[in-house]
Amino acid sequence: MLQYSFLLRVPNCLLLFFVTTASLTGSVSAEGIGETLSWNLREEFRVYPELTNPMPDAHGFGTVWHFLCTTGHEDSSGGRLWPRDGRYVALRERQSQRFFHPRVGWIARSYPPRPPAVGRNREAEKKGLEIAAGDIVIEPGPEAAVIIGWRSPVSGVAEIQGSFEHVDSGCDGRGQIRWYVERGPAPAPERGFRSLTLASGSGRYGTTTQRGAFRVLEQQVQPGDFVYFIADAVADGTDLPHDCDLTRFDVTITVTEARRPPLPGFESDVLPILAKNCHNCHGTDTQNADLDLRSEETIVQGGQHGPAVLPGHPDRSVLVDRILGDEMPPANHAPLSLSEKETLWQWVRGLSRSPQSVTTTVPQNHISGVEHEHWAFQTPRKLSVPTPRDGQQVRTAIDAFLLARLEAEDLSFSSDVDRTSLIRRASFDLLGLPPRPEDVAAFVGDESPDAHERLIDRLLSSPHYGERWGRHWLDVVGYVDTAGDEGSLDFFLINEGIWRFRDYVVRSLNQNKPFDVFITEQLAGDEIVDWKSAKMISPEIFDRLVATGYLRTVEDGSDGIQFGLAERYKVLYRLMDMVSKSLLGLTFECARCHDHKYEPISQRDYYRLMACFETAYNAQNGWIRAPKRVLSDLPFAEQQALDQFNEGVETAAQVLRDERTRINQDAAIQGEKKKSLIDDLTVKIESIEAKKKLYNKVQAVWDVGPPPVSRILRGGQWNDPGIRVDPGFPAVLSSATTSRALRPDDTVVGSSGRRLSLARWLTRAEHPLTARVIVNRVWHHHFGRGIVATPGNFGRSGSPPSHPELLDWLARDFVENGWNFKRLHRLIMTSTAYRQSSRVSIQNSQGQQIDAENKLLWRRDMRRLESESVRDSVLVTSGRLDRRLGGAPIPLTAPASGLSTVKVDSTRSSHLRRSLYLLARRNYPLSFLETFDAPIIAVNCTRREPTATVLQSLTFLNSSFVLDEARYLAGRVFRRSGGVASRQVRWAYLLTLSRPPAPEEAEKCLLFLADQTRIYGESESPSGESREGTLRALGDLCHMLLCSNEFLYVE
Amino acid sequence: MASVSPNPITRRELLHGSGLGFGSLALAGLLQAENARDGRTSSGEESGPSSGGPSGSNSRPKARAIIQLFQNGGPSQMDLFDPKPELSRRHGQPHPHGVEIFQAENKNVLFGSPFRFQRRGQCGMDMSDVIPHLGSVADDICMVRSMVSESNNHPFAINYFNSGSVFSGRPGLGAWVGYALGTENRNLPGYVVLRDPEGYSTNGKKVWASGWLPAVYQGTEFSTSGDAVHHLSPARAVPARARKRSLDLLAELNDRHRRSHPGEVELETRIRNYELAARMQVAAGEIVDLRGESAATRELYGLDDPVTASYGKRVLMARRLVEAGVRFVQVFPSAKPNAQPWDTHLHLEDELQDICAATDRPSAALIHDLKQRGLLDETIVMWTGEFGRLPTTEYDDGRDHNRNAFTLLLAGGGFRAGHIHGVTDEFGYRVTEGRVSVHDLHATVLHLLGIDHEALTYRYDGRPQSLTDAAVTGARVFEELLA
Repeated sequence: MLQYSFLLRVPNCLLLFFVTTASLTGSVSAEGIGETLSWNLREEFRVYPELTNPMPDAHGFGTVWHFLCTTGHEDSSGGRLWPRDGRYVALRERQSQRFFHPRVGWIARSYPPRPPAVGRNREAEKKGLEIAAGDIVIEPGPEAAVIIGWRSPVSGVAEIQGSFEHVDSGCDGRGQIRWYVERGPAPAPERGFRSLTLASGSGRYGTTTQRGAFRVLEQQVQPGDFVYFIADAVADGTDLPHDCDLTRFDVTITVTEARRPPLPGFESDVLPILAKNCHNCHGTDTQNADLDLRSEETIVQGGQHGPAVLPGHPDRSVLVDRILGDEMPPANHAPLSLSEKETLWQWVRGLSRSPQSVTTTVPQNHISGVEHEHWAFQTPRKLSVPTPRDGQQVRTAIDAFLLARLEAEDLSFSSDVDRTSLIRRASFDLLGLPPRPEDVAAFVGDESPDAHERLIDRLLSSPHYGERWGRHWLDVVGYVDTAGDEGSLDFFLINEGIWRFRDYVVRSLNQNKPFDVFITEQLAGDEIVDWKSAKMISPEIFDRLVATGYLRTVEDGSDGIQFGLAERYKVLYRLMDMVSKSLLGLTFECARCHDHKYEPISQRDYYRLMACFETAYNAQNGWIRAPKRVLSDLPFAEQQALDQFNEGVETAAQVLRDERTRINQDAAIQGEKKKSLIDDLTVKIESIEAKKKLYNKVQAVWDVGPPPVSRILRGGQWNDPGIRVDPGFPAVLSSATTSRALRPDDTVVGSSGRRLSLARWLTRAEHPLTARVIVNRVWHHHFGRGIVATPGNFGRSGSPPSHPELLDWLARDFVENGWNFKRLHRLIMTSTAYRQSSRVSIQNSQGQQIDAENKLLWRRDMRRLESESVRDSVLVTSGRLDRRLGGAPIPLTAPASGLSTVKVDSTRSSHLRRSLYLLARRNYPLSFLETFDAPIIAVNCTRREPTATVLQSLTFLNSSFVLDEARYLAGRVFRRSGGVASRQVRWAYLLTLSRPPAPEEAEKCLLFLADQTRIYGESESPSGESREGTLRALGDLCHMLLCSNEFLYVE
Repeated sequence: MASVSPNPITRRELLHGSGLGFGSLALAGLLQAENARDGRTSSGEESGPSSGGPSGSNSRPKARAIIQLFQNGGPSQMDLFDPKPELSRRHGQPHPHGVEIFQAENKNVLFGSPFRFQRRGQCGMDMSDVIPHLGSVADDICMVRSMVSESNNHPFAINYFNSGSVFSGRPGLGAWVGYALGTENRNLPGYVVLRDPEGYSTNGKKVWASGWLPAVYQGTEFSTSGDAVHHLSPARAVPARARKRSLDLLAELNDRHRRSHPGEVELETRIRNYELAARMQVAAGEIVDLRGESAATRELYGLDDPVTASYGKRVLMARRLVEAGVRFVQVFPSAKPNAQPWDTHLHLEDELQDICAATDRPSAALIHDLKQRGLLDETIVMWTGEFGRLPTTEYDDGRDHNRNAFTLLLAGGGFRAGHIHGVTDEFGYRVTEGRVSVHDLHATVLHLLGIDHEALTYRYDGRPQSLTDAAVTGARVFEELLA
């Protein structure tokens, strides 16, 4: 196997410093021919994410530095017999950081981490010896030795000089290494080879062998020859080889009389390689990914993933990247040889950069014309309002669109609903609460022509409007108050201060904040105000920081010590899911692992969009653990000072806590003495902890660390990165000029502007989706079904719009009028369509025949109250709702039975607050709300699915909440009506159902009161009459009205 | 808010056809298939049964119900079911290749089982001495030693075992079974959960949530004492006559309301639900009431021994629920003080003895009892954890998580009795033969219930979703495991 012309074997040597010279039998070139080139590992080592293996050098060669390990040595108990057998494989994984180790490089296995490993320190580190920032550190593992290979790209005479330095005192000082410098051919994982040892030694921290230097002279090399630098862990006789043998390594190789091989030609050198390895799939018959590798022109032109090569830049060419990383040819084909790889590299490097060829290679997306034509990917059209035949029924433009469609089916709107039902409908729609009887009476009696308009305006100006519509937005955001995956029923952590985001949403809606501003603040509030250098956090700045809580609601489990990058990327994935469904109305999830099968969304699109968030959620450079991702109402510097101070306090407290634990466990200390010592310490700990300076926390995001280079993660695996991508937007929704996330000029200093760029892109007037999606959501909540019935999916797999022209008109109108929510509500709610009756009668029965599902809106649908409204309405009815706005969440109980309730604070009525303010849990919502279909939040909820289960009936019949409130309601009715039974019935109806009873109902109820009073009386007193019995009977009447279908459904 | 459709036969009606989800929505999908265009239901909604429905229902079902004894925490296969003499022989030596670990405290040192194994039953199935009762029903058991998981972290592995995905939010096997088959008893839910009354196990309610399947298919928690279901009886006592009079009034009020809203199906459903509530009070009460069980049965399940009583009662209730027509019953071991009692990171020998003492007798009793009642043939019993444990030492005397191999037990319902499937390496670390994925298991269980796993779909997120996602996972029915 050995192809070398020199034969002398150099003896191993254990000297601290030694020199060896290999004899040369070949002729030495004459002086003056060729150039002198040198390579230094420390200088050429390029850190992640440019990190590749093999790694190019500073002279433009592609496959010079190799990071390898040995294989096949299972006898690890006594040290390895002959690890230098040529059966070396690449340390392939790109690993940004080992846990606890501030270094980047490769490691044999990343999760859990296990050397062999090669890395470069990002920052200085104190081990046994000081490791400086930039040092190369290698580490053999218990199973395999670590190897750095240098592949000579030139011919000439090499001098090799460097050192191994065992820097760690780990493994109780028992660690040690053996190191070798060897020559040989390229790694041969299958058959191996025998190499020539040029130098060797051993190293052990804290001894004279700690540092081993070597210098090897006059090695004649040809392109493709390898020099290997090997470090192996040594067993100490009592234990395995260790995995703690950190070794600093550096080497400089100088080649004199160097001759570079000639640049390869395409026809002569490159084409044969491509023909043999690639043309099967990218050639005459098939062109996978639209890539044709048969000519320079088609290669430069590229395929679905853009140009295959960038002339002059092998390091930025997809073709080279894939082939060098052995991603191509695919797994079942043999990889290219190193010399073939180098040939490709040099060919790309030598390609002249032709301006035309570069500018004509805008990445193509594999979106067919048909996919592009999908309605939702077109800018909404500006359409003229149709003129239906029956103009009488048209109150707003909405009616014109709907009626024109109805008339095409020979249908029409149903008649207006009665005033009582209308105010009840409008109140629930806008406030989530029933109207007060006085308001009902006033509205019913208001004969002015604009009574309805004034009602809508009055409701829109109520502070409860923001609570009701804020809840809808919080569903879309997936808002919860708890942190991480929430842990268990009774042990969980609170995402402190996230409730300020909930209040921000409520406040913003009440202020009628334009939607474009609203989402810009939520995506990039931190990028539009200079909060970092602000001397004072004004309310405006504070609001914008709070707004970014939008990006903090997804589950973040990256805090656990065992969880590394995998968990960080999961946070990004969940974020992508939430953002794409909430703002774009598209499902992106599939494109995480592969190009979307149902939508024209590529993996590239997915990771380009994800890159917009990677400066804030910076998995690679400067990830902030969830509990520390907080800002405050203090200037940033001040907050940081407080954090530092608090950490000091915490450290001091911890010392005492440790001491307390020690005493507690100390068997020698017993009885009173133990107790007094512990009590003493506890007091001290508490007094120290009291010194912590608290501040108002805001869950926020902001850009951290240097921007990472984003890559496609193949199969959604964080540790399998593919080609690089720039931050940008899905191709199908943008043009070549708008698809890149460029930093807006007004981005605050020190931020990347990626999220702001996303916000600007989303809020462009001509964006195909943003306005349509939000307008459709508003419609969905007013009518129970969106114009697009799938509010979270506007893609090809979603439901087509029932009224596409109306949706477009609404979207344009919304944007042209300043993204104004309240105007949109008014437009919808003053329409004839909204004011229709929901009942089917002889007049509108043809609608039932033609359009039973009522997609065309020939009547209103009857709708069940949502969970929060069910609870809130019960409390309004009993007169006990605490209407205060905002603040920290109201805690819930968490009994083992699982039947949670709102915690009662005897001094306040906080347990009677609106459901919006109750602690929002991911998996354990308040039992009552869960029964009425409050969602469990995996990511978010774009549409609640109402059900009618028997558990709901049981809850109304038997739960103490409903029974209690029914009793309060009875008291309220009694106070208003005194002992007169007919007045009691009337008030019970007015308070629960907003209307007086019909005579037939009143009759039934009076009979019931009499019967029930008698039944209670008979069971309590022989006379059959008692005041108590009367009250209980009234309580039962109230209870049954609460149980009635009419209470639960809105006409 | 919900919208109510007046369409005489709609998906929604079937969905709401019962407050307990006895209507099989998937079968409803079949009815709708004729109207469906384009693989979309005629309603064009985001979610719903796909046009296919379980049209590929295969032949005749072998089983009609499943009881899953979910031994969460990661039972140690090499100490219970998968004897490794080589592991014992090389106890104390290093593992030659190293293993994938979860926690940092591991030593790469082989840890031979402290328990002894014996061949049990006619079939000679190896089982550890720590589970003598399971050993006594070895001839009814189909042991799979070659299960693998995708995660070695409890929450993700539990998601994975039940729903086929490490991420939460997808429906689990129980919800899918209910969706496919409904329940046989109109007064009880199709999917019942029996957990430790002291608390929830790891992942809590998420384990039995219905994901994006309708909420009627989620697991309903049954309590082993008091009210079987929350709010089954009034929070305050009411004389029966008064109660009846109230319900009569309610019926009158609701009936009048319904008549003025013709065609609103959901209103009728709710009216029926109030009647159902009363019947359920009786039916569920009967399940909880164990007084009718014989002394021999109490003894069999260990109800009078404080060590086995709590879990034993749940297992016995599982049998009663299946007898009453419930499709899927999920039983958990104790959740306090440890929400994952099989998670033996340290003091493995003691801890395994404790958890086995609490669960071994009742688990075996169930198989025995079902058999003697002639129910085992039509009931699948599944004893499983979410992953296994490592052959190496953690701390000084424990084992860390292992996703590369674990053992599960199946019995009844058409599984091959007295059979061992799959082989692991000499230490029990990795599967070497007969690898069975969770998706394969799901496919096989559905098959025995008469359901074609590829045809059982539900439309969500714009595509037909299935439990096994066979196109991606390659899930298949494991004929080798069938009788």
